[in-house]
Amino acid sequence: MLSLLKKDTFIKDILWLLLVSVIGSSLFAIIFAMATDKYFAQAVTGIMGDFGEYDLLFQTKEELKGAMVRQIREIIAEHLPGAKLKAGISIVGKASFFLTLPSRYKTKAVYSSLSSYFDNLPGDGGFSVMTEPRLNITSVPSGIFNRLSSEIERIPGVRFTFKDGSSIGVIMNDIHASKTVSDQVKQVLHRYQILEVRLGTSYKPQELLAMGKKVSQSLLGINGVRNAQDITLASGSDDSQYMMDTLLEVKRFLMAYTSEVKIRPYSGAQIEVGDLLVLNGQNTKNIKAGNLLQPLEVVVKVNSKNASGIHGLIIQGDAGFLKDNNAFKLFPGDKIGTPIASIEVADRKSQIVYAMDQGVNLLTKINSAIYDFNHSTGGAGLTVGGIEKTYQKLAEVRGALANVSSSINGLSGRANRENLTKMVVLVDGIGDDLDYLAKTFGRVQILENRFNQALVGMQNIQLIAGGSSLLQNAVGQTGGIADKMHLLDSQLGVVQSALRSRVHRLDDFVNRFNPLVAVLLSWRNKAKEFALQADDFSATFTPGSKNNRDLMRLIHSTDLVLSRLTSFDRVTVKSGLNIISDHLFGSDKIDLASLIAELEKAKESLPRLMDEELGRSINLIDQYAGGSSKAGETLQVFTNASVDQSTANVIIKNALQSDNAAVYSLPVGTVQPDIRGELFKILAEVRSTIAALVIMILWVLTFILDQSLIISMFKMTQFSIFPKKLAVSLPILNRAYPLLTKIFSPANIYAVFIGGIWLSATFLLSGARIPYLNFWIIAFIGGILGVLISMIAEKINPICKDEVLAGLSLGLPFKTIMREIVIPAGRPGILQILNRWKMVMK
Amino acid sequence: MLTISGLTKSYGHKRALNGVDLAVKKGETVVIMGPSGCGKSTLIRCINRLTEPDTGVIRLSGEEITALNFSQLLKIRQKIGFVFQHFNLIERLTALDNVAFALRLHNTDSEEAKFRAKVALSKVGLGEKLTDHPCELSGGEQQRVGIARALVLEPEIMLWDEPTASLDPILVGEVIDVMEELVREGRTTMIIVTHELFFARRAADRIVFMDQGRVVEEGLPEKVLEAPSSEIGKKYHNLLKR
Repeated sequence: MLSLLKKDTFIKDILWLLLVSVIGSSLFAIIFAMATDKYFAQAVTGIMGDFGEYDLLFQTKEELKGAMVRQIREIIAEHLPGAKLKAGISIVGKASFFLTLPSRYKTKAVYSSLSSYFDNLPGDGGFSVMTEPRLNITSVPSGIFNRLSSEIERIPGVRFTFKDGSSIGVIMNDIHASKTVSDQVKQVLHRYQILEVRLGTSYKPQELLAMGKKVSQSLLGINGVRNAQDITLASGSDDSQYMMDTLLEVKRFLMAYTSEVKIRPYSGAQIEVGDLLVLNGQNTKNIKAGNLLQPLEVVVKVNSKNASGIHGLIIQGDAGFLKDNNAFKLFPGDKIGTPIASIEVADRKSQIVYAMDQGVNLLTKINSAIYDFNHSTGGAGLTVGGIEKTYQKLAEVRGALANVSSSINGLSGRANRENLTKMVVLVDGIGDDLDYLAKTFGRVQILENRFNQALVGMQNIQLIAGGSSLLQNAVGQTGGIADKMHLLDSQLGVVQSALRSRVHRLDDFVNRFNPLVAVLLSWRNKAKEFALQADDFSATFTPGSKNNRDLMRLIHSTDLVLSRLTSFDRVTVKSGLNIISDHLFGSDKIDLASLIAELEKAKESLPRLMDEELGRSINLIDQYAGGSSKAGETLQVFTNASVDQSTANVIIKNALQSDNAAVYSLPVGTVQPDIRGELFKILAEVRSTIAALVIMILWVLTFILDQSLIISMFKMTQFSIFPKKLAVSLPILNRAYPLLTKIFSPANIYAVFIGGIWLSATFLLSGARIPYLNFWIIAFIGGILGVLISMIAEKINPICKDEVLAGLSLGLPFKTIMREIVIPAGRPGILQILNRWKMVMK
Repeated sequence: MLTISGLTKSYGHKRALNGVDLAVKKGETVVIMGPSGCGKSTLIRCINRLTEPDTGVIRLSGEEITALNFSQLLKIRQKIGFVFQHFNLIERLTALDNVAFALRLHNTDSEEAKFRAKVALSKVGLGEKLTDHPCELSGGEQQRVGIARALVLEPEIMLWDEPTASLDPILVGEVIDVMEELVREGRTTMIIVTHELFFARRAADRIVFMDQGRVVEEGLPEKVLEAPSSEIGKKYHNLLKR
């Protein structure tokens, strides 16, 4: 081979041609591609500015650019003083502007506020962040924004992160750290995954939240999973997530408030979820099968069917309008069918209102009763005090009576008369005290009655408020009506317990005091009667007279009263009354006034909605919540990457008890270079593709101008590597042999060989690339194109056979004929240029 | 000087030469005549192996041309001048360069080559047309350039392949004149394939009639033209009588 190269042969010329054309073409392609690249790079710089020059790009319609500039300048003056605005180029009717922010504004706070600053630019004008160096992490579910951001901000070289639509923008300190930061961000992203759970046909939008919770809980602890968070409904912005939470809470509230309809299908009737039933409401004419639905009729939508039965919601009318419980099927087109079920309605709304009304009334009564007891009667202290005072006065009366009695037989005029007068004054004086005592006792009895009535009412309210499932269903995250109902229930319990104790003590007091009061009143009557007769002094002291007998009875009666008073357990009664009055709501004191006020408020806060409005609202919320889930009925759970897809698949299916669910693992985000990086990446691809196109053109030129001449010469000389005839004599082979020799002619072999080598070598040297085509395919294409050129070489670059024959006749060798006759007469190309150095007859 | 024996050549199934035997003495002018397609041009091209014969032996001055390798053949071709029917000049070169071409490429000094070329061109009457390109010359002139190109190498033998066949009758004369002049000089052995009957009778030392790839008659012009024994010879005889 080396000797071949040392000799002055035409093969050497061919090799030189190959070498020069390949290197030359590669260089040309590289230079051309670089020039193109440079042009585009300049265009990019023209559009985007130098690296790091601009921070924001604004775009709007050409005709609105004046208004936009004015508004941007106002925003700059207000929020970003010192920022510089520069007009960019206008393309296809869109004007662009660049904003350069001073470094003091390059903070997380400012970047997070940009969207609020530039929220309402004219003509739906928007902006893009251009700050460099920057990375973008795209396709990040909003539910994990904060978590990822905080982890990424801990990476050295990261200045800060901000939310940019559905991406996280990562601003770096230094472009040179870009690769390191990018790698570390990828590591963070690789630690997590999004498990997308595609739900089966049994999926119900309203169950989405519960399903998400189940799935995330089932994953915790599996393969060291520490994070599992349902982010399905957090796929939008934070605001929409909050709104979704609120909607679900409102739904729960409305569900607790709406009437619960239990549906009992008639024998043979089939009722499915989603079916509509119609019942007589405020309509004047009763429903008939075949009629159309009327506005005043009540419509129930079946929303659940399970082991506990079939349940529905009223979506037209109200439970209060129902005339009967016979439900007809409602068909599409509002056509009424035959009766298919009976219904039972639990009017929760009325129950709640009733319970509250009753609670407020009873508490008001209790409050006023206690007030009356404490203020109108002077309280238990005065009652007990009255008893003591009566006792003392009666004792005095007894003393006076005893004096009168002892001197009955020895009345001596004036002294006995004075004693009798004194006793009568005493008896008159004690009458008022006894009236007061009787009145107090009467009030205590009234109080006891009120308390007894209150106890009965309270038990009824508690049955409604505390005993129903309503309060259990109404337990929400934010309290409200449910909490107030709980408060009512528990406070009523306390009040009830306190009342029971007080009623018991009142009973005890009444039982104890009642006989005493009767005796005292009887004595008072006797004493009054005697007092009226006491003026007849002589009759009083005359033994056997009526006055004297009355006096004796009074003395006896007074003894009896005193004996009763003595035996009356004043200390116990006083203690009991003190507990009733002074400490009625002492240590476990309930602020009844506040409780009443709260209940009034709760009652006022109850929605004044009909079941129809409630039902339709619940449906709407369900539709919205369903629509907020991902298309294709999917759950999205953010979790650690340590659990693989197949394991997760098994766990989640078990958790959901559904074989229809399918689980797919998705990345939590994708790291993208910034716009400039992306553009330069595209430009690099464009550059290699342009180089490839240039090379293809040069290949064609080289083969048309140079190689076709050599191929033509091969063909003209009819040189063959095969013998002219086959040694064997087989008819088929003999017939095919000429065709084979033609196909595998030196010209074709040369064309394939040179074509393949030329193209692949040039691609390799220039770095040219055609998408999806590798080195070997390029070489193959080169060979195929070589054959095509070979087929038409004589037409592309004909050789004058006469001249060649002349050369041959003159004894010229092949190389000389090529150099002196063929090549100079051929098409101008690299071969001719190279040949000029070898030619003798220039 | 030149002996050909048993020479055959086929083009596919067609037999162009069918065992040709011929001997040419040094300085002899042999005219080969015969109908078109009888193998005259094939025979003359086989002599310098512009066409490779299938079988047979060709010797030139004792050297077996048919046994030479390619490089040896190139050397022997330098001793054989060849004049083509279609002149076969190199279009890009002037008349002078066309003639000097072979000299230069056979390592003759440039000046000498030019001088000798000028002499050769003067000899054929083209001393004034040295810088003309072939396209600027008439057919006769072009053929004379072709003759000069063959002569300038001072060949031992000159082969003429119907040199006037492409020329109109007016131009034929000037070429025939040159050829007759060269024959008169008698320096070079010549084998001329032509249909020019009168030229043959005047210039040839011997006339060879060919038919169907064979030599059917040969002899002195007076003999073969006046009393031919072959059918071809008789046809030429009849032409002379007209």
